Amino acid sequence: MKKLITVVAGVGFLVGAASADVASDQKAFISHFKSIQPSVEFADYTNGVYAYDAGSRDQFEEILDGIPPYEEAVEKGGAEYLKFGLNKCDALKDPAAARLAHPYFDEATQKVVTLEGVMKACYNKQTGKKLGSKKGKIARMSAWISDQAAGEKVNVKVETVGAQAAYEEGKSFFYGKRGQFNMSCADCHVYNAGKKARADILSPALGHTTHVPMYRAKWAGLGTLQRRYGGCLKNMRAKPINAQTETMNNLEYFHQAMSNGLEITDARYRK
Amino acid sequence: MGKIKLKPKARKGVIGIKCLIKHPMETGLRKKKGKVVPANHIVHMVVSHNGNKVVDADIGSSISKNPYFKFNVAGAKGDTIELKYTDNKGKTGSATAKSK
Amino acid sequence: MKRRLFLKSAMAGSAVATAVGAGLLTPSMAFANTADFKAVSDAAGAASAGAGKGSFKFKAPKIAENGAVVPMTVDASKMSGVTNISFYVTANGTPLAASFNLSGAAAGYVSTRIKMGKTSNVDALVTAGGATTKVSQEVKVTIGGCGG
Repeated sequence: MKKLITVVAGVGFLVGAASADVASDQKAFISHFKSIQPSVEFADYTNGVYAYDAGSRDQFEEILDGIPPYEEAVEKGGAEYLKFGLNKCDALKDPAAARLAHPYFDEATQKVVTLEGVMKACYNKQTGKKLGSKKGKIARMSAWISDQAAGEKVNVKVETVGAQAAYEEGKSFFYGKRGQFNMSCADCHVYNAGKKARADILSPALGHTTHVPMYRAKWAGLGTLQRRYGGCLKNMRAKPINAQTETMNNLEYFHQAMSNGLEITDARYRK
Repeated sequence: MGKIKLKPKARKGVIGIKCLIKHPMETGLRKKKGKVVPANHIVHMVVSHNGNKVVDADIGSSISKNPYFKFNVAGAKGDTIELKYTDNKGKTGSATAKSK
Repeated sequence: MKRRLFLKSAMAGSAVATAVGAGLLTPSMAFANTADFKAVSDAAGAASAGAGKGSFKFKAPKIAENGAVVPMTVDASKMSGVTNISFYVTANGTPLAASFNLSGAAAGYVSTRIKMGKTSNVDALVTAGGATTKVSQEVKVTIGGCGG
């Protein structure tokens, strides 16, 4: 928390109690990134790290210009969406709307609901079976659903008291130190975005959720946002946290809200 | 072995042929759980344009998994592009597409 | 190990053919690449050694995002009579990644994605009118990285 204050204070952002105003948090976020990379426009953040580094952007564009390696998997996701009856659940019958509506805070349960969470519930209802949270079917179907909203802007709403509390939890997690290296998500993806961690260029958190689920060359496959969270916690030698649990969902709620206003993209390739 | 995505597209007298072949391209040098994964990769590929051979390729195991290739051939919309490949096990695959 | 030494010492093609014929070696069994291909790779190596500097475009990343999928493109469209484009990755076990013989209406252009085991010099070879020229570039490959 201290570091946050010292670094961000310069931007006139006070981390006071319950200052759960998404708009002003995001404004501070955007200002910070503008200060570390003045030539990158807000809209460019849709492509995250590729907006920062020309060498890797070239490879990104080459891969997309060719036939993207995830194309077939995403098409399969579309077929599976119908096959497993996900189109029959109210929350998912309009896939573009589904992508845009999640994550949101559900007043009845007082919990954040993610797209993957809703998909798991629907799959279980339609087939009686369990759906994983990280890769395979869920990643394919979620990627297909997200594709339908490509071009639309991320628009996470945090409006009620309960929603604000969940948002704050997610924000604390994001800025909180953890793991053997005692680092926070923000250490890499906010304060040191654009710099290198060994051979990787640290991606800016702004724009992180425009292209999820993502295809990672490292995975040679698709994975959900929470698959990535799990991988990062592992890398940071932090205590593992299961996907689609309250902590992870609150984190996603904050994380996605920070990309409000950025275009959702179907260019889901990453390193 | 696997599906082939063949996407020929004509523009200003040149057909850009993009293809993605689903194939593991195992080098035969990789180990999985202590056992060597046997070599399983494309060795030869031919691309034809309106029945005429335009590309005759010797493919090695260090071409990436799910090989991607792009070629340019003088031609027009409606021309026929055909791709055929053979792998080291003798399996073959082929695809045909009319250029858009 | 034994098989490789066996191949190295004998005349590549014929030795394998004999071994296969005798049922001692089945094609899928042994190597990274067939002996025929290794011979093509050796020939490419020789051609590269003697090749003059090419005037065509060779595009490859300076630092590969992922060694398993390194995009590379040779654009020799402006050259006439291009009959072959090859990609030779010096530090790979069998350096020749692929050799594309072009004919008829094909332009001198090939784009593909190659596996690189480690940082290496890559020679793009273009043969036109019987002569081979090359453009070389080092591609750095790193291992590991974020993301689990």
